[in-house]
Amino acid sequence: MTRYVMVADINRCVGCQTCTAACKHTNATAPGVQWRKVLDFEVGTYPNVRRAFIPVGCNHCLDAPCADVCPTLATYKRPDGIVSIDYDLCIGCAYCIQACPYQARDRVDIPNKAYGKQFGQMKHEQKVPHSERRAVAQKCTFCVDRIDYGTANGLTPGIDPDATPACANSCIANALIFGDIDDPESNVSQLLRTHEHFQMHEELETGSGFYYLWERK
Amino acid sequence: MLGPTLQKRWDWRAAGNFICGGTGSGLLVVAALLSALGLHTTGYALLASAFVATGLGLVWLEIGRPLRSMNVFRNPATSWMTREGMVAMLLLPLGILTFFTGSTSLLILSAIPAALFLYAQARILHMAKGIPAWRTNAINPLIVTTGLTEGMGVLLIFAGLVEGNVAALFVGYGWIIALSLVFLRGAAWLNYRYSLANNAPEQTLQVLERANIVITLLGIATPLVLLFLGKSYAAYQLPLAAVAGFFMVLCGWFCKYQIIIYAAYYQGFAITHTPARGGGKPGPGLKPGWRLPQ
Repeated sequence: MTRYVMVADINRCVGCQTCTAACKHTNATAPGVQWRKVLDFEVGTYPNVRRAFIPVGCNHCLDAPCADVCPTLATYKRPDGIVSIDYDLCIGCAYCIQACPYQARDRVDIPNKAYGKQFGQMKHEQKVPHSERRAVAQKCTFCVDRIDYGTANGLTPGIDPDATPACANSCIANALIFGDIDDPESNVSQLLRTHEHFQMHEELETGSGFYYLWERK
Repeated sequence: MLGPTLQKRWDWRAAGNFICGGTGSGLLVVAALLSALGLHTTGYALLASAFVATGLGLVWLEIGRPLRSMNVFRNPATSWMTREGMVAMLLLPLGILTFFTGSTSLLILSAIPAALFLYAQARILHMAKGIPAWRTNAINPLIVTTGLTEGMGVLLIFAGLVEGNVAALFVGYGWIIALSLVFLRGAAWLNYRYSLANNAPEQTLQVLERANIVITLLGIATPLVLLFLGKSYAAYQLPLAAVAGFFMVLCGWFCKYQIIIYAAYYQGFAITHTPARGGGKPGPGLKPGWRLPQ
């Protein structure tokens, strides 16, 4: 079996948001929508203050609450663990948005204009309007088209850039690592063996596919 | 924003589905129960169906792709929204048929999908794992009891339309059922708030704290007093029943509106550890916007 997951080493992440930009560039998400973004946490009070940069997005959960509640089967789980959306089936009821504890989903009815109404849509926005995503649920796909292309051409997702999500490819600190957790020799499996890690909101038992490394064992 | 933010995706139209659907389905169940006890309540079936249909119509106006709405029936295996839609397809024709035939048996039969519809509404909220104010187990008894109490309230408001119903309500078990429902809803509300103590975002707790006084005074205490007065003063039973019913309905609608629109903060983000910097050691985590201890 295969289950693709994302690992974020929060010791390495510098909060540069290159992954955010790479995701927007690759997926042409509407203004205001970020399938991948990096949160800036500040913990403590002066003088004992700590800062952490936490990449977030769809966790591609094993027991995905969004897929369970979806009345249309538009949100579904692929055999490789990726939670996908069939935009043509989705009715835009937004139930999945309420069910996701990671705030990873959006619905855009009328796209915002990046530079306000008076300037209209940018040329690149006009070229990739993605009308199929309008008024339906949308979220991070783990760049599923790249993964499908890669696996169809004998590439290894997480190792070969052409088969790896854009955010992981672009990370300047190699803080975002993508791979198959069911393969004990994969990059992500080795990292999880050698590092202490947590998943966000573990108590909700979603079986999140997003792991945060916080210390070497 | 790291802390929990208020959901904006389900607005008054979604709340309207829970309000109208809960009242309509509750009305059908209560009407069936009272008809079994000898009251003439088949006439309420049309009103109940109209409530449910209005609720579904409101939610239809909210969805992003209304022309694809028939897709809602595709996932009965796990989605309570699909199940709600399916039982509504039984409830609506049965309710209308009950009204036109005046059949008590049909009314009792239509109470089955109505009860399922009400339960499905509760489970829809319960399964929304992203919103702590909804996902608690205690939301189920609250939504069910408030729907039944609203139904009883509507029945009391219009009880005077059928001769003999008001007197029958106060002489027989109807009065006891109304009191029990108000009491049960109060208990469910307390249980709901208790379940969220230290288990929900701070802002959710503040909203519920503010709503508590209204619900306790107008939704629990007032109907109880009015129903007891109605039992004691037979001459004023009609207005007292109607006013008690009004508060029973109003409080249920208020309660659901508060929970769906104002208390519905998302989970927010949290980390259990902060990373080491330089030669330092990792630090504690953070859960912004939540009351401690968790």
